[in-house]
Amino acid sequence: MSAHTGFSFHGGDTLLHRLDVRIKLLALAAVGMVSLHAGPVGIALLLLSLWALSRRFSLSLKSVDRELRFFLLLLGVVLLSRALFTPGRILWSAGPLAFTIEGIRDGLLVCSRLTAVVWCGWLFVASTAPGALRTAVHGLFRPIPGIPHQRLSTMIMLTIRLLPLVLDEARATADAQRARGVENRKNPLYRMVRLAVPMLRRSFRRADQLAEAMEARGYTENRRVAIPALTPADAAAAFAVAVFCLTVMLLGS
Amino acid sequence: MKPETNPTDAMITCDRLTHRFHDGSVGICEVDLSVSEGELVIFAGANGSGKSTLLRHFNGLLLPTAGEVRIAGKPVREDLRWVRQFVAMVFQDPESQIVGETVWADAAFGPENLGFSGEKIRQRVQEALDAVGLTAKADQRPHTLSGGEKRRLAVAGILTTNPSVVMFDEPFSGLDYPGVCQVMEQIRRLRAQGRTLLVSTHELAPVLPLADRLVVLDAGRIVRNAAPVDSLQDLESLGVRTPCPACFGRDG
Repeated sequence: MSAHTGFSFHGGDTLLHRLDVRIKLLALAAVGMVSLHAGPVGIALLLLSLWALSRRFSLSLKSVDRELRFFLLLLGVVLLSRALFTPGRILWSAGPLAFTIEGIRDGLLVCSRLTAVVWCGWLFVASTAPGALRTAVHGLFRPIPGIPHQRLSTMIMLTIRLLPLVLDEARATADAQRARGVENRKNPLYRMVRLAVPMLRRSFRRADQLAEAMEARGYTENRRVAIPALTPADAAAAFAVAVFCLTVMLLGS
Repeated sequence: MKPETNPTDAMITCDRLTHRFHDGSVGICEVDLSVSEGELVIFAGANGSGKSTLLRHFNGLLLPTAGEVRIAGKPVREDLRWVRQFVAMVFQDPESQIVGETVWADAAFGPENLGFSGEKIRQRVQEALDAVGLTAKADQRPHTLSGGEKRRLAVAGILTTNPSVVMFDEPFSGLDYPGVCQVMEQIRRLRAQGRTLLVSTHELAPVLPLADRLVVLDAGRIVRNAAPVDSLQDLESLGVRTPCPACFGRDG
């Protein structure tokens, strides 16, 4: 069975848990966009705020360590390439390799921006129940003509529901192939194809079964979904996020 | 050997029902069948004998190539939405039936589709989860449930729409003994409520003592249709394992 990971919903009663998911979704989009253009002071302010919000979650860094491993590797590659290939004052050199002060500064800024985006995403996922996300998407897109909000929210619901199953099946298929000695084959392409083909076949079959079951349970796009009303606290939070984003932008890039 | 049923009070009627698949193969062939209200009918047969194909005609998942199916006197193809509320189905693999992100959300799927009010949805879901004993797990993600619990959730999902007919497609497959007991408890409960139950299964033993009738299919045709005690002779030649005599009140 799929274990719960650091990047999953963590029940609680923090300010973020209580906020309407539509406000959180819009805030995530706004803060994400602003952080990609923020300067050093702005990004420092943002990271500090995220740290303050994260303190309310009883989750250690260790629990997300596994998921973050590849992200940290990506940050390392970004920092190294920026430090090596950005022209400027040379801090240290060895043969053709030269680290510049501007490169390191630039690399640190890019890494901080990426970290802020991922951190925002983690806070959103950790404080949002999957069902509430579906309802929020439904509520956000309902007023916009031409967008099939019902279909969109159903797709989100099914994705959340099926992701653990697909991961379980991938694990089971990989185990079965290991048991039959697939690791003796050195060609990674061969191994990937051998894993992907049965995985896709099973996923399509499961999708067919799911569609049939939904039909049997009377699925219709005109389903009743209760959209919660926004509270004054939600409005205040939206205002605070807007002021915060403006401040970060004014602090310059 | 057909038991006598009054056509006027038949819950399900099949009249020369035939289903041919796209590739030309025959799923079921000229099936005549009548099921009365409150009956528990077992459908048995080897793999590919047409059990699941037949059941899928009762809630309109498949429509006949020839012949007709009537539910409470109404042709199935006339109103599929009504039929699917009236005739519910618990699938062989409950994983494929569960669509909600949580136990509660899954049980609410049916009433949401029917457009019930928020209060009515809450009430129906609460009653259904209470009935199957899953209230304490309402916020749990379905994939973390055991096999028996997943089938109980599937039952809860259909109870919320209050169907008159409930079909079980291979309800015992892949279950351990406690899982089988949990499913049987739900079948007993539904029977006590007077619902019409149709059970397609290879495992006759658990459900046979409750059954009113055993229908055996072979190559898409009904070859036995009688009270269980009269249908058990030479079952193995039809690809069905004969249950132990104690299951149907015989001593040898």
